[in-house]
Parts: sequence; C-alpha cells; structure tokens
Amino acid sequence: MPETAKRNSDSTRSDEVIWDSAAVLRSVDQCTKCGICHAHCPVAAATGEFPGPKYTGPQAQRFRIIGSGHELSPILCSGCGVCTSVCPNNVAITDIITLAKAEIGGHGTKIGIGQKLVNRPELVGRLSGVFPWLTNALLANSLVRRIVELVIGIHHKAPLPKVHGRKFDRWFADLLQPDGTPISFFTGCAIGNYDPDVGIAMVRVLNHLGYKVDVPTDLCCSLPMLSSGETDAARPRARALVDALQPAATANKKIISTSTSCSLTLRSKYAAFLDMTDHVSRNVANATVDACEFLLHRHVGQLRNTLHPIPLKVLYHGPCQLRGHQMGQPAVELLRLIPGINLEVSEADCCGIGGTYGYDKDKYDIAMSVGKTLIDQVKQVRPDVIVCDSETCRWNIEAQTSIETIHPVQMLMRALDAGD
Amino acid sequence: MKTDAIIIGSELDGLVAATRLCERGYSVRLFSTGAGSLHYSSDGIHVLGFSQATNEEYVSKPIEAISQLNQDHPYQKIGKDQAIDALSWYVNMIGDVHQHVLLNDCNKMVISPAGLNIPIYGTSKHQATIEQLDRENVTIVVFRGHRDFPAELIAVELGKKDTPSRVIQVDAPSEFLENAALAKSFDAMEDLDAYFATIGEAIPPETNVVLFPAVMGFSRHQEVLVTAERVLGMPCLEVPTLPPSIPGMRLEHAFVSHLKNNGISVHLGASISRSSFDENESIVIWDSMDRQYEASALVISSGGVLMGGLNVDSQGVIHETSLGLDTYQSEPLNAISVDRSLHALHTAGVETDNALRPKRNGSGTIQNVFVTGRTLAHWNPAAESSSEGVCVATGWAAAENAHQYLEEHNNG
Repeated sequence: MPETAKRNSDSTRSDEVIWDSAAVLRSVDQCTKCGICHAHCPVAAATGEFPGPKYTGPQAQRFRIIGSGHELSPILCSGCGVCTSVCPNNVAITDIITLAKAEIGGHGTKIGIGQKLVNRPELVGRLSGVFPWLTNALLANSLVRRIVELVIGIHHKAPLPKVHGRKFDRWFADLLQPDGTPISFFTGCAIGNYDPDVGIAMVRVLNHLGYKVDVPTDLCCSLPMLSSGETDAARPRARALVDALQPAATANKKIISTSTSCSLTLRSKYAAFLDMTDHVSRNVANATVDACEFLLHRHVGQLRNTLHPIPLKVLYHGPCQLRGHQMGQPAVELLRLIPGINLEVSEADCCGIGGTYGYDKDKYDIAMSVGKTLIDQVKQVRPDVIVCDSETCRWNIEAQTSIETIHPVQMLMRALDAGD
Repeated sequence: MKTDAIIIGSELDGLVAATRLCERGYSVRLFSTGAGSLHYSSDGIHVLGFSQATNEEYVSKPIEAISQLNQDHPYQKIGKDQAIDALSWYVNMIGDVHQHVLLNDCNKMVISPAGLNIPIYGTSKHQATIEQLDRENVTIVVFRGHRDFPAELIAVELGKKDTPSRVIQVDAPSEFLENAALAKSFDAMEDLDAYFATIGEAIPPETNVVLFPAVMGFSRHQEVLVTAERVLGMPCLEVPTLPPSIPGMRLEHAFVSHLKNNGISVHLGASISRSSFDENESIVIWDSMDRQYEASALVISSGGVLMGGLNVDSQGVIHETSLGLDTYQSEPLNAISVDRSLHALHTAGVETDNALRPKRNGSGTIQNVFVTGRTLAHWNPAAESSSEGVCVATGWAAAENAHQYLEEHNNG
C-alpha cells in the first residue's frame, strides 16, 4: 500500500487517509498484473481501441513518469471505476487514468468544443433555460441534433436532459419551512437546470425528518472537466465551490447531495486530481454526504415507521460513482423499507453513458454496447419504475427504455405521500 | 449501522459464510477491497489432492485422509464431520444458486491449463476429467489467436494415457481474444446452432469427445454447452484456461448476485481503515472513507498474501491486514532456501482455536471474530490442492460458530 494511504488497524485514529495525486500514482507499485481489472472492464470488452485498465493504468503510467509523450488510450476510459473496485491490491486504476487524461490535455491534445460545452453544464443550463420551451423543442428535432453532431460532435442520439428554467429555485423561494435542525443541500448544476423534481423531493424528505434546509450554492462541481482532462479550467471553479460551502461545514452542518458524482468529487476527487488537501477543502469534504447514505445511517427507524406501501415493480440500478464512494448500495437498503415494493437489483456494472462520455459522437456506440446488459435486464424485468441515484444515468436509461427513471429520494417521497 | 454480522473479504470462504448466515436469517454486510481469488480457481471442488500424511502418490479418498492431517490443519480444527456437513450443504446450495456440482466417491483427475493431472473431489457437469476421456477419441478446440489455452500441452498429457487426441483451430466468435471477451461473446451469440454446426465441419469423424477452453459463456454457459452437445452429437467438456478463470468468475458473480437479491449489502472496493472491539462486545469498523459500521460478529475472509489479507514486511514477517490479528509462520521468509521459504509463506496465516477464533496482541481469544480460508495458518492450498474444500469447510464452520455466538448473546 502507498505510504500516505496506509491503513491503520488501531482503534485510535492517527491521520486521515487522503489519496492525493501522489498517493494515487504511487499505488502503481501495488499492481501485481493479475489482470482481474481487465477481465471486468466494460469498455475493453466493447472496443479494441482501448487496451484496457491494466495497460492504460499502472502499466503505461511507468512510462508517463519518464515523459514518453502522446497517447490516446486514456481518453477512451469511461471512468466507470469497475477496475478500481475489483482490484485486490488497492491500485487506484481509474484515478491513474484520469490523471493521465489531464497530462494529455496539458500536452495540447485538443479537447473538442462539444466536450467543452458539456463540461460546463451550469452555463449551458443558464443559457438554454432562458427560453426552456424553445431549447426543448429544438433539441427534440432530429435535424437540429444532426447539425449539432456535425458542428460540435455531440452524438445526435445522446440522451440530453430537458431544461426546466429555474423551477426548483422558484419553488424553494416560496417554501415555508418549519423550524428544525439546520442542514445544507448542495444542488449542483443538475437540480436548478435539469432535475428540479429530485431537489423538491429531497427538501420535502428532509423537512419530513425534521430538518430546515438551506441551499448555499448552485455552482458546478466540475467533474466533467476533471474526468475529460480540462484540469486547469476546473481548478478555480473547484476552489470557488469549496469556498461557497465552507460556511456550512464550519457551522458543523451536513452538506447533502443527491448527485453521487458531485458528492464523490467533493469528498475525494478534488484531493486526487487537484491536490486540494488543505484544511478548508477537507472540512468541506468531510461534511459532504450522499443523500441515501445520510438517510440510511441516520434515519432508518424514522423512515420505516412512516413509509406507506407502494406495490410497484421497481428496478434499481446503482450508478458507477457508488463504487468510488465505497459504500455499497444504500438506496437498495432504503427502498427495501417501502412496504409492498417488488424490488429487483440491476446485474449490470454500468449503464454505459459514463457521465458525459457517451455524448461524444465517437464514443456513443461504445457507451451503448457497454449499457446493453442493463437494457436487456430492463426488457426482461419490465419494471414500472427504474430508480438510479445519478442524473446522467437516469437520462440515459429513460431515453433508452422509455420507462420513468427517478432518484431514490423521489421514490421515498412517493412512499411518504402514499398514505395521504 | 448495526448488523448481526460483518464479513471482510469476498473469497469463496467469505461468500459461503455470508450465504449461510443469511440463510439462518441474520443481517449481514460484506466488505471487500477487490474481487477475490475465485479469479484463479478452476471449476469444481478440490478437497485434498496431495498429502505427505498418506503414502499415496495422490490422495484417493480425501475425506478419509482428513484425520491423518497435522492437528493444526483447518480441516482438523473443524473436524471431519463438520467438513462433510459443509460440503454437502454447499453442493445443495450451489446447485440452486449456480450449477450442479457432484461429489464423487473418490478423487478424479482434472486437467489443469498446463495439462497436468490434478486430483479433484467435486466436479461440475461439463468439467473434463481424465476418467471421462479414457478410451475416447478427443478433439481439442482452440479459438484462433486465443493465447490463454495451451491445448498442445493437454494433448501431450492425454497421449501419455494412450488417449488419442488432436488440436484443431476454429474461428473465434469475437473480435477480441481474452478469456472474458470470448465468454461475453457466447453470452451474446444469437445463433448457437449455426456456430456449432460450422465447428462440426472441422471436427474429424473419429472424434467422440470435444474439449473446449472454459470460456463458453458467463451467464449461459450451460445452455451453450448443451447446445454444442446436441449439434455435435457428442459430449462437449470444458478445460480450464490460464487466469483469469471464467468458471471462477461465474461462481463469484452467482454468489454476489444471490447475496444482493437476499438483502445482503456488498461493499466492493471498500477497505477497513480501523476497528474497535473488546472481548464479548460488539465490533465497530470504519471503512476507508470513515463510515462507521457495527456488528455482533465478524468473519475475516480476506485471503492470503496474493489477495492482500496477509502481507509480508521487509523482515520477512507475515501480518494480518484488517485487524492486526496474531499470526503463525514456521520461519521468517528469506532467500536462503526457496523451498523452505515457499513452504513458510504458504502455511503462514492467522492462528486460531478450533472454533476458528483468533487472538490479538497475545491477549485472550476474541469470542466473536472468526477467521477462514487462506487467511488461516497451517495449510498449503497449492501443495495440497485443497483450496475450495478448505474455503467451503471453514466458511461454513465460521458461519455456524458465529450463529452459536449470536444465539447466546443476542438475548433471543
């Protein structure tokens, strides 16, 4: 194990384990080349262009250290994290590959305009949210989508979300909350622009459990930039977000996130990719918690007593970021608390979309091939509703299956409402 | 977050312990740093293949040989009767969850990827054994370009038994030629009949058994092989490839999927950063992102040195990695004698009492922690060819011992 990431088996905790970029890269030496990562990699199974995580991760990294120049293979990694999760020896394979993407970006390999646009979801959301009906109508037009693909390289079938103007902001501004334990809700770019109903459900569930919710910021966590190699552009944005969340962390408030990717970015990826290991960043990281993780660890008893039956067939798909969180699938445990639910759990490792990976016209087919296991299972199970914690996965799954796909807290909210 | 039991590690023994505890109605959470060593395990159950305790070249009756083993051997600790119970429970369970495994009267010989004969006690339906090939005429099929299947070595070994055989090359069903890619392509294949009909044209008429590399699908390998048998009109068997082992991955996937569907939370990719426990009290562990989990009993199934359950320091001393449990090793590992060092490495591990309970820092036995499989000392999976047998037996015994502990301490 790398020195800074050394585990301590004593009950007294010495130093916090932080995987900064040095620790990530040092984990290369833990690789025994067993090949388990390669056998599980969904991208390597879908395309011969990608040499696989063992090669692109620890193996090629040894040559990156001596600066061997240009390579393209890291770009083909979707960042799903299966490799890291199956590695028996704690090699941070996905993070090694992501750092390599940043290095390639630094060497001047061009990041396309389409990728640069999807890397700025809050900007796109703001612009298109001025006249949401117009944006939605335009993006529903296949000719427009062909032109978009031709000009900026976003695949014409890529599952773009609908824009909603500022629906959540307006709803939240009018909300009268009862007094309660203060808690912060980090909405990220998705709730304000694309997924207002998830935010509304989250606030209502938290109110129900006795919390008074504030929304400190709607800045973007910049994970799309970090995972596509636009590291320098991400740096000031990450700092601004940490500064915006600092008062909540300092006030000992939990910072709840309904996006498994935003929360993972705050908790560990700023350290891994930007070396943000300062006191403020770590305070914010430690205050940040995934919505389902929070509910499972704190409120199982309360939820169990207040959830009403929902006799639906539900398929749960755990998004890739849960692997990075290393916390199993807390949503499964929460959904099982709903009386009468007929719950099936996805057998697939990944829905394929990989955040914004599958939006690229050159990677869309790989993404669809990766996601085939899940789509086949949906066809076989024929659920009434699909549940998934991550926004881009939900948009992708809904686009491909035409079955309503919601966040676990929306399901919980429905079960709380069902008795009324 | 309290559950009745926490399992650390997704080795075969950990998966067995989790399944058994779940079956007994306990709440279980399983943590594993990565996927387990089933990726190196072929198919079937090796119970005990070789032992210096018997005077045979190889062990023919493994269950009977258990009582001749060293008193510290894991089989001896749990006893022959429990080992028998464990194996018969496992065969029933795995038949429901994954595929039928048959326990034979005595060891048979299975063909290893290097063409060696390895004694095996429990075999699956399509697993090739030397006994099945006796007096047959064998064709070994190689997918052109598939490098992890040394068919020529298998042919040489069959030749020593006067079994006529030949190797033929056929077009692979996929563009990519790793074991996993080949297996996935059989899962996705639309017209199995047509594919095997084409292979049939390349098989010489004198053939009456066909051997394939064990890559004939992940989730539908049984259907694939049954179809092959119907189309070709003769037995079609699998021979293990070099790692990663597809039969092992199939088994692991079947287990994990079974556990998830039965309400067990599997935390894959999670390590244990620290722990806190006192004798007879509940155990608290923290994962590497500092989440806290509590359990009344703990099973340590984190594997040996290869899987990170044990590590070796610069002085050649073995340590247990999750809880820092006391270990045994015959001597420090050094380069003076490779054979002795290898023996010391393989037989090193956690020291326990007969209930598989360890100690820490030389203090008294910890009542609610149970250690299984390769994390245990006093056995040599490679030299004995006993891996799956010991893992099943100790995983099951740990679950039964944890059950007994939970019954006594949970106040009903």
